[in-house]
Amino acid sequence: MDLLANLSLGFGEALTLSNIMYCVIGVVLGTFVGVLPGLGSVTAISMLLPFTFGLDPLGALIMLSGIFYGGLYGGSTASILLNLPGTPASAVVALDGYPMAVQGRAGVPLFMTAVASFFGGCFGLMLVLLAAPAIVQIALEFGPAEYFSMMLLGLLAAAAAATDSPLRSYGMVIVGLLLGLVGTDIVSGMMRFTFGIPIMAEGVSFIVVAMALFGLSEIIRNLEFHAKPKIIKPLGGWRDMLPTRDEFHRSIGAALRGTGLGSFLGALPGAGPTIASFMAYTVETRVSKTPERFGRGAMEGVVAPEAANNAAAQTGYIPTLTLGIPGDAVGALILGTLIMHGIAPGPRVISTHPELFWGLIASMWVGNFLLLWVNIPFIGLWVRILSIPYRQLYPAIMVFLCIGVYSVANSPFQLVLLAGLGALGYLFLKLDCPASPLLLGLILGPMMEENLRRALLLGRGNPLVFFETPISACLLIVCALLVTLSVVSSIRRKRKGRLA
Amino acid sequence: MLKMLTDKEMLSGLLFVLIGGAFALGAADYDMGTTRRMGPGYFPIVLGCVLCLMGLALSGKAFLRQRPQPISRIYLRPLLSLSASILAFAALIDNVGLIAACLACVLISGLASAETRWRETILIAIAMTAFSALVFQQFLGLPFRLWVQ
Repeated sequence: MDLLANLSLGFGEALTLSNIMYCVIGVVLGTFVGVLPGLGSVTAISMLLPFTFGLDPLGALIMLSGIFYGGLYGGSTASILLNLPGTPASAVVALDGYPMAVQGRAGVPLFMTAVASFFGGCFGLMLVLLAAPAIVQIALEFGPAEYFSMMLLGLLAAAAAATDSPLRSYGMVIVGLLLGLVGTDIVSGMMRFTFGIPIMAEGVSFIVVAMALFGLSEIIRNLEFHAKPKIIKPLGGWRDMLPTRDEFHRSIGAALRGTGLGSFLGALPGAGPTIASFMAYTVETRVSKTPERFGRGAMEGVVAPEAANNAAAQTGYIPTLTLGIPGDAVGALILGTLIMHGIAPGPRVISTHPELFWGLIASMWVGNFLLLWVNIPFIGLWVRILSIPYRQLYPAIMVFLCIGVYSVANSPFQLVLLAGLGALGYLFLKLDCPASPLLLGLILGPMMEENLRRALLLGRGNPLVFFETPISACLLIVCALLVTLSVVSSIRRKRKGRLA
Repeated sequence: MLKMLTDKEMLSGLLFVLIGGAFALGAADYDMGTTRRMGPGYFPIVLGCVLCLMGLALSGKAFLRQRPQPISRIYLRPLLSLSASILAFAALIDNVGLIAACLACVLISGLASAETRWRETILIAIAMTAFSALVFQQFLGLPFRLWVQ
């Protein structure tokens, strides 16, 4: 069977010594940054990206992906023990995980989140395996019009999901698109917005932007407050980690529901692990016969979101790898990595670089398995890392930021850009303007412009060309619906707020 | 009235107008082309104008609402010290070398927090410098000069 051949190819790639090593580094580092509040996967991936220039593309992808899903495993640890989310996707786990820790049962949610993450992650991967080749078959027929509409939908969906103020997120998408135009125009070869600085001809590197918006400005914000969080240390050994029989039975249904919901949401553009975990929690409170237990240590409230965010993280690779449309900031970074290694993202990636696609999928299986063994037995170590004060942490992060940005082009100019964009990012934070739509716009901008121009050239300048093929027309109709819906719902929410 | 100027939505709108306007004006010199054959100016001018309009809509909405939600305090201390630490790294890395750049980066970034304990920060500076020199320069082979020859 085809699938088996592909899988064996994938595992053959993933189980080479160097790739296992990259996977281990990725997941351990991911857990590390996931555990630390105030340092997320996006920051860590963008910080590490420049150091993967020298690796082969598969090695780089394996390591960066490891940081991503490893961060989700680690994020719940901070939520449970600190009541502070290690990553946004784990924030909701704190609602029921922390009360359990207060009751002196911290080991149980820690154990169950690891198991739920593993379950969700593996199921999500399974879907990627089955769905990706099928989607590629459809996507291979895409022309420039379909691509443009598809990217537009991806951008709008990501923006709609980012905040409850649609105008602001759509605005941020455009800021990103505009930043993406800086540099050499692909069609005419003309320099745009470079101010005569030679290095700007290459454009604004997405790595610098990601480090400025998700690294630097986050550090500045973290330094505003001096809250001393209180850590609850989990006591006891293996036996204290096991749930009661009743809790175990409840967990099965919750894990299944969370996984299903997360897998579905993750595959949609715009809805990443964070949204999946919040929705999964809401669903659990609705289906439960005893909703009053939630917020006081209900097992379902821990298991379902954690299964959901890991499933979503994996299915998020479907649009990124098959269509070249990232669903969230991490997807955008993965896409950027592909481009950086000279691989044009899109439906051809799987057929032209099968070892890359199947190798990555296989390595994520390996990684999920590793994480189970990284997380549970070493929980004491992670707790100790949790207690590193921020004042010792951020100067070290600054060194990584500086060295990383410098090595993008071995140019101090990039560092000046980092400082400027970091200040701008801090201002955006203060104004509640979300950063991830900007990053998506930046990465998709050049491709969108290219496809727009090509489609209009083929259509002789008639914009109706986007409605001539059924797929493109459908995508644009969905775009229009999405925009209307997000505007209407934000107005309605505001009305409700005024009445209350 | 003045208070409206500190409103988050108003300021976001103004910022968008500024950014959109700057790109649209900057692209005014580039060739627009036609819809069929777009020149390099077409996409930026259209996007810049759309962003301006969105900014105006945001500010207008905020103005009509007339209930300002003022922007929360901007902490200049971390903003300025971290920017300075990056710029110091930028100034030193090519002219003096990695060791000086790393030390300066950590020490200046220490100014950003009121909680900094200088003895600790000096140790971090030394440790990070040694780590960067070993891992990035020696092990990963990134092209840094450690110190000016």
